[in-house]
Amino acid sequence: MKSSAIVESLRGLARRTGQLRRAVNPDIARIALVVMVMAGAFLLSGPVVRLIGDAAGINEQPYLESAWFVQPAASGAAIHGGSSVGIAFRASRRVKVHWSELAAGATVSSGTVRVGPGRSATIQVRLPVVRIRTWVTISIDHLAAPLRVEVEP
Amino acid sequence: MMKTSPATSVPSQRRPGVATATAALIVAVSIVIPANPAAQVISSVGLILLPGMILTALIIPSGLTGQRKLLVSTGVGLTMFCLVGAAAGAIGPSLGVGHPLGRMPLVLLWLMILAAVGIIATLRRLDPVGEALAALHRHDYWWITALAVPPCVALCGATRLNATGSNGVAVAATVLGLGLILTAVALGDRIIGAAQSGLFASGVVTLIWQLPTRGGWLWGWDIQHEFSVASATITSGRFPVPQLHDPYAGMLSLTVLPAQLHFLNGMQLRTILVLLPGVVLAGCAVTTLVTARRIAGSVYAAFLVALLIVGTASFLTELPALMRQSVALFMFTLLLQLVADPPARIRRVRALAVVIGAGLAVSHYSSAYLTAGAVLTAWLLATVLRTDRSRRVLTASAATGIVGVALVWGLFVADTASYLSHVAQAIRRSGLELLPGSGSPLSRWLKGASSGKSISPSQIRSLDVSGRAHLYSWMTVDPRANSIRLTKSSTPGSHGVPILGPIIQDVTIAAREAILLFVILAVLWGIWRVIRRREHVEIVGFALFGAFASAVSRTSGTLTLQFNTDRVEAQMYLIFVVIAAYLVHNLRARIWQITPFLLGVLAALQVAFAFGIGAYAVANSSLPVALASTGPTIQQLAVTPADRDAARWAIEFAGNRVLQADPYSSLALDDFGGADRAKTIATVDPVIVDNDAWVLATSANVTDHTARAIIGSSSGSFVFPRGYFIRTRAILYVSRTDIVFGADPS
Repeated sequence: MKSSAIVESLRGLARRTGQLRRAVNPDIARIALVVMVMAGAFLLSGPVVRLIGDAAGINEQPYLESAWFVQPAASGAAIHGGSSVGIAFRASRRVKVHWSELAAGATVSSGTVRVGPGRSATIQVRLPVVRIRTWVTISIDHLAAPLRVEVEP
Repeated sequence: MMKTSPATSVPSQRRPGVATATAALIVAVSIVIPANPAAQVISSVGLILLPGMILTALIIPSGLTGQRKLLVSTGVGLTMFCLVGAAAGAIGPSLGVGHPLGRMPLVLLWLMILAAVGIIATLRRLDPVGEALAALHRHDYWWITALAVPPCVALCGATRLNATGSNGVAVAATVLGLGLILTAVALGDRIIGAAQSGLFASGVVTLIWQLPTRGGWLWGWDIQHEFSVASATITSGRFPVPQLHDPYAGMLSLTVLPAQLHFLNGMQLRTILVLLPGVVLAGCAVTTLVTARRIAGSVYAAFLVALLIVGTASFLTELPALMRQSVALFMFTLLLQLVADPPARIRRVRALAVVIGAGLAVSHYSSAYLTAGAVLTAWLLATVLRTDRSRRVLTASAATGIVGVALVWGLFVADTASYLSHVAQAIRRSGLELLPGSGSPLSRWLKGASSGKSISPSQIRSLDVSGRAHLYSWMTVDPRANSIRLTKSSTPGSHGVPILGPIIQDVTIAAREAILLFVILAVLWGIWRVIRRREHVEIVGFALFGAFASAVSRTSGTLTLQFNTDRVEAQMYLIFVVIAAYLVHNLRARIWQITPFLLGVLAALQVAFAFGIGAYAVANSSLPVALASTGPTIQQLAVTPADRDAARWAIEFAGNRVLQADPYSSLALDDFGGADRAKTIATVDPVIVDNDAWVLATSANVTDHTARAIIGSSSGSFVFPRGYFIRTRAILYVSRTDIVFGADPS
């Protein structure tokens, strides 16, 4: 459609709206206008704000990843050799997390876990029977430090 | 908008009351329907303004018009909003409502109040909404929309700075904010008052809204504790909050106000704490502008407000992170307006003053006590001088009302008795310690009573070793900790400009002292006018108390340890603007005429320096928080979402253990009750970290490698001993920027 046709049809719409407004009771027209404006504002404000936020780049969630021990945290104590530990991950976007387990300086196991936005994933790591008072570390990509726990008698 | 086309009141052809009743209906719909931005804005404004407008119209049916009516109605509405919520929170449980500050009870309560508003408006033919709308032209809506854009740019700028480190949008927002203030001053005599107020308010909000989201979560010291108190109120759904017993929990501005907004319109608590202080502080500046404008004219009024209020560092950089004081200062400016320029029907004005005084008392206890002191001084002066009682707002009954509410609420609800006795004990023990320190009287005056001292890492260590022997003798500490040396951390500051930097430093000090001298002259002039002509007696009484409070807080070493002196001055300068307006009004004809444009430039420069722009020129200064992605102030006061998550995890799982974190990381713990948690210790120097304690290290520690120590009134920073903690402790929680260290098994 040509731009002049669009302008013309808009003019026609405005004319007809004006005629309609003059035809009905002014109070009813005013109430109808208020209702329409309010309904429009309530329905459209959310999408409009989101759209503006996207355009301005302020809706982006900060990229958050974190991991934590589930089982040692509950007890706050070290763990026994041969037992397993639970590790939970969380990420603000879909991400594949690599982890590797080191005991006494050697890699004993590794794996990958997928984490969705706003969700937690949990893995169970079976610890090898290592000497007591040895640190077992579980390294996870991108995080500030490995998780680390001591194997106790 | 220009003065040539003033907004004239168009007599409404509608039946009086219909517009107000319709507005009440729209607000009612907006709190019932699912949350959306339009409904949140409409309900936030409507729930406060509509009952406030009706109540104000009932108290003072005539005499208040235009902006004054709108501002006073907002104050009355805020007071009512808080008190109604508090009453519901307190009475609800005895009526069998378990969580009276929950969604359903609040919606029902406010639907009833809105229905009452509609009925009263219709029956009494009161139509404040209709009158306000009749005063607006079609083009005014476009101006209002345009003035809302710069604050939104400010929010975008802060968010982009957090996300990308790029400050382009933030710089644009700052320029916009300063430009709006310059325009409000320079065009003051060419545009109508409402337009000037709009420009000024937009400028202030634009500058303020750049701060609260810095870091990504909440920026500032007290705001974290305020979040924790508001959060506890929302969780408990009651007032008083059962598990909280500190003075913060007695402040309705931190409990009932955010809880009601949250439940009635679905607004997130963080959003409320980010947006509301800026809006309220803009209201504070505009109320003072309106008061001063009626005395000194538009240009000088805007100049004085920019110079003495917005142009103070605390207004732009501290108050935005203090929800409780922001609300209280807004109430204080309304009280000042009523006292300085009371509308007709003085008896009713007194009643209104008591209502506003009550709103202040329930918002912030320190501000309420300072107000009580000012009111008592004003009443005493007016009584001693036997001024005409029929023209006084602060008669014995009104003063008793304002002071009484402050004392009753402060002592019995907010439980500040122990806080006050602590201050009294400190004064009894050490006296006021006026101008402590060494050096000439001039240098001590310029330094003020600020006792804060910067200390080196080795001094931190020796103080910590001493603290370990006395305060923390119960700790078991790994012997390896003694061999860890604290080293100086490098804090990124500005590079500075060689010659300009020292000049700017000196000019800033000179400007500060010149402003102080001007204020002293204004107060002395006021006293002279009172003695000679009995003019402005109540305001001079306020100013006398203000001068006393400012002088004592600036010079007393003892009080500096108890109060933040900048915040005392922030309140007292609100009084000084009014007295300075009287002085300018009287001198204007006799002094050298300064062009409005020059005044505008001076005002914008003062505000720009208060915002921290000058730091770019002064070497090793902390860069302005709103424009820089790094620097000591950012490290000290910004909390990131990752920090918040780590702190929440640590608080949740540490249980009864000792939790240690340096003052940077303690801020994040404060969001989850860390300030009230018994076993939280704000230090990470290895020599005073208990083996069994958990240690929280947040982004300042892990990413910027800096830790902070605050010991008494001294503070310093050192390199966070990350390697030591990693070698010796379990690591229980990690994110990209945060670590929670577990117990040391040794």
